Amino acid sequence: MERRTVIGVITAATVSAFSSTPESLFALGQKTSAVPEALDHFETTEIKTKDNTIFIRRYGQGPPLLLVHGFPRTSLMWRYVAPLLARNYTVICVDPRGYGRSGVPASTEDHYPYTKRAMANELVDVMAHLGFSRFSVIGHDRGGRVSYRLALDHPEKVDRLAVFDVIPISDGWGHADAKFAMTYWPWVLLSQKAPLPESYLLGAPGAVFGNPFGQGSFGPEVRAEYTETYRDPARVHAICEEYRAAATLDIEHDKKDLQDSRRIKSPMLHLWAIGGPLDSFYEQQGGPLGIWRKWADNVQGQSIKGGHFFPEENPAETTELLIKFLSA
Amino acid sequence: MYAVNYRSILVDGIRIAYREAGDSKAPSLLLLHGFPSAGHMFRDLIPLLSERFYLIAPDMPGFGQSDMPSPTTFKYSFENLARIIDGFLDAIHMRSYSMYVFDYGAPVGFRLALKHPESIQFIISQNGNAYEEGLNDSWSSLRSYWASPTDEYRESLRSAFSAEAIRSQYLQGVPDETFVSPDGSCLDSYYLTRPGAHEPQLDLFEDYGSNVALYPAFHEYFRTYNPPLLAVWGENDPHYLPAGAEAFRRDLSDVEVRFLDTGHFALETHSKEIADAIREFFGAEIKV
Repeated sequence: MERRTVIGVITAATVSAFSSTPESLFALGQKTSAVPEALDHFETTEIKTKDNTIFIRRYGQGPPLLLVHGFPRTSLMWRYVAPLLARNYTVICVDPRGYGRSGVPASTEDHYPYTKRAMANELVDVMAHLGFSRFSVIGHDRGGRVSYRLALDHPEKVDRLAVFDVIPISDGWGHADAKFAMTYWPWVLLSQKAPLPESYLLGAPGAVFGNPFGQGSFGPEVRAEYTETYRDPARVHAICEEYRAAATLDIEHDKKDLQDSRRIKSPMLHLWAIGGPLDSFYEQQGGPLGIWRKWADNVQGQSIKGGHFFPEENPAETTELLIKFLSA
Repeated sequence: MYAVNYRSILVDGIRIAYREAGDSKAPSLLLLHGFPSAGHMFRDLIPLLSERFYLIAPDMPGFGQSDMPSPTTFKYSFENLARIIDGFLDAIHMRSYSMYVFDYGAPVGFRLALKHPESIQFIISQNGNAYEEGLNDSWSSLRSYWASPTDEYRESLRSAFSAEAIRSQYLQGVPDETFVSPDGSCLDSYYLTRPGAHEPQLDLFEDYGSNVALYPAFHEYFRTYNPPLLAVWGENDPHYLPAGAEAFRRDLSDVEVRFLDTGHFALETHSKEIADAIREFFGAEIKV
């Protein structure tokens, strides 16, 4: 892949060069050495929703896929996966509210505007604006939580669901112990009452990228784009609100679904990091797939190399598994 | 506003003419015409929507500018119209789209949905019927004809092709006829006066019963896939009753029904209201 092309992959406005490209991107089941240039092309759009503006990057043509990133990333995290999917799909990479370049609606005392339900509803509106009432959803980390909530709340909208390296919120908290708190630090730190976590994040915006739930092999330009979010007090507050919602209302929403036997109807793929917490924490529950089978009728999945951020670190294998799942 | 391109493409040896407008990255909206019209019936609507949608309006075989193969080589059935439109969508690589269905467009469009339910996004039905209660009593003689076709009845149906009969279809139920342009009905008449134009249409009259027979299958599709549907309906349509618009609610949970004080060809008088309703149905404008 030429440098010029790589620049195009990243973002039009703020990023001027890119230094580290995973080797694996060059080997997606064929000998071509790079993604054809036309597929690297994406367009950015801002979509007005009821009380907000949502930023998307759009690649390719074909049946619609919605890609939802997590913490502490932006839609930029799909920069390798999206062009590969663009061969056969319309790929919509979104910054959910609060994140990246999307708007930051005011929160409320109960944190409802940053529940996964509110975030998912907004993404349904975004897809409707784009002309899609049925699509497949792929979510990583926090985006995985928004995605499974979308599948539960809007079953008729979701063709297929892929969730990367997370289990449902109520299961996360339900099995929480010291090991959990030590590992999944954002859950316990960022859900604390304002302004404590806000102050910590804003005090050291780069610090989140120096641990297993932040770090990546990206170069300084991508890091700069990611870090931007954590320099903005409004965004930092929104993200903390999202974690507060995850410690309160999101759990209630999960529990209500279990109570009412509301299940994920679409076929579901779960991928998790080899050697990551999900690989060992939940053995008694049958591993992450055992947990997801409590929620979904048709679950498949496996572990994958690359750490928590495998869509960025191992995009070729991630895409291969995704395409297999989406086209089955 | 985008220019309209008038194109054609070969589908299974039949040249299908179509109108295309808008940015291909905008939401795709397939416009399916009715009897005895063609893509030209969308001439007012297309400019009103081309900033927001990618619009494709094909002429079905035997209609408008598309080929009219001889009934000896091409069976004029709704199944076959749907098959050709399906091939047409393949040919232009349109595999994820919303549809606007009117009159004949409804049984053709809903057949496409049965075949590729995952491709259909939003549905707009403008006097596009899928329910028994949408058919008024005037259909009873046609129903008997479907049950036991006779040549005599077939011959009597030719009266529907006269210029006067077509014009009256456009005027029935319209409070102020001065709003109805002569363009649509005159074009329809022109296409129907072409040599050999009547037999295909008579075949389709005879086959219309196959649509009614499929209503339960359409309803099953609605219940299973629950596509959002906007029914925007000329409430004085002599053929398709307002009850047919309301009936969508029975099988779909996300239905919006809007009645317009006009007749069957609601676009002739209310293209602006219909365009506004469609834009609202998809949500606000996209900022670029």
